Amino acid sequence: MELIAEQVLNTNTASVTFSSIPQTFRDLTLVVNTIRSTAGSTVLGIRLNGSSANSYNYVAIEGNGSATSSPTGTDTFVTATAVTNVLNSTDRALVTYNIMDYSTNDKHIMVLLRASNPSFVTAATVNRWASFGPVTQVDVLSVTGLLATGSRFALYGIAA
Amino acid sequence: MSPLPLGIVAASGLSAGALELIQTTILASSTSSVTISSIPSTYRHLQLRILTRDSANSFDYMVFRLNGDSGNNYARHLLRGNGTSLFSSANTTLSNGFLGTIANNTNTFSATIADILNYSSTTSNKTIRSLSGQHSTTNMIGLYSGLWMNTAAVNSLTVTSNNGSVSFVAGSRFSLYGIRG
Repeated sequence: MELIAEQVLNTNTASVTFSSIPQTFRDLTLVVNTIRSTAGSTVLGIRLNGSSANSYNYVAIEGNGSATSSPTGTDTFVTATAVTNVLNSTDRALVTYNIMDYSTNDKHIMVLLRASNPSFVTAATVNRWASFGPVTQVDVLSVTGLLATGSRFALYGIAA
Repeated sequence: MSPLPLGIVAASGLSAGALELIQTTILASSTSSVTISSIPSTYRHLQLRILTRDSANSFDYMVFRLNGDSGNNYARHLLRGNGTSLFSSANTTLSNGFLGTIANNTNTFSATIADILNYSSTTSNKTIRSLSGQHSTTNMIGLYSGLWMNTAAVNSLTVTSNNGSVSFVAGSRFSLYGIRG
């Protein structure tokens, strides 16, 4: 596993972009450790190649300490959790996205992820981006509110 | 220390914990079984990364055997959801372990990441955990835990479908990585 790029926020921001991703690896792993800059919660999502089309299909399992669920649907980004919010303003969320076979163009792109927000939810999700690769850009975004200063985003390549 | 996929943290040093490719198999034609053999014993853990689809477009689970052991020496727990409900089950005497699921629709592959912990140990049984999912004709996401009740070092891994009659299509990918301790 090789670090491709890392970004640490020095200001609150709505999104983080990794572009010109080299096509020399087999899979990508994106590790996000972040928090919302203001009170409240939001949904954390990623988009591939800048696409905001409603083409990210998901199925998830999640629990929040009082209930479990397995939602499914389609959205305009890869969701860390399907219907519940991930980020709040007091506890950092850790989300790991595994973007599989990202440099190929013969299959829809699959993303496996684990999301942990200790005071809020734990979840596992599989997302199918109904589009063919290669993936050259990944955007991380907060649906509402900003990602806080100090948030860390690291993109790794898994050897081909 | 650096965080790794599925939360494995490197014990020490820059090289420890890095994923090193041992072997990748990409199927050129449909096959019912994939074996990775002669696995070197020089790593601390193994990670298997799989993308696969069923040639018959019918849903099935993906299972594994270690060192060719077909005896009832495997146990498993699983927690999975299909977009409607959650399901959990356990078995303690199986002839294989569960890795995940096999997708069943054109262009859609299931994705699986499995960790085999302390695979080269000769004093402990082997623990395998995986995250596997698909958004396909049958939707499924699951967490799987497996136990191989054998203290031998793992030197081969075989992956098949659970019902034995399903084949993995061309383009399915099986990659084995070593993680140094």
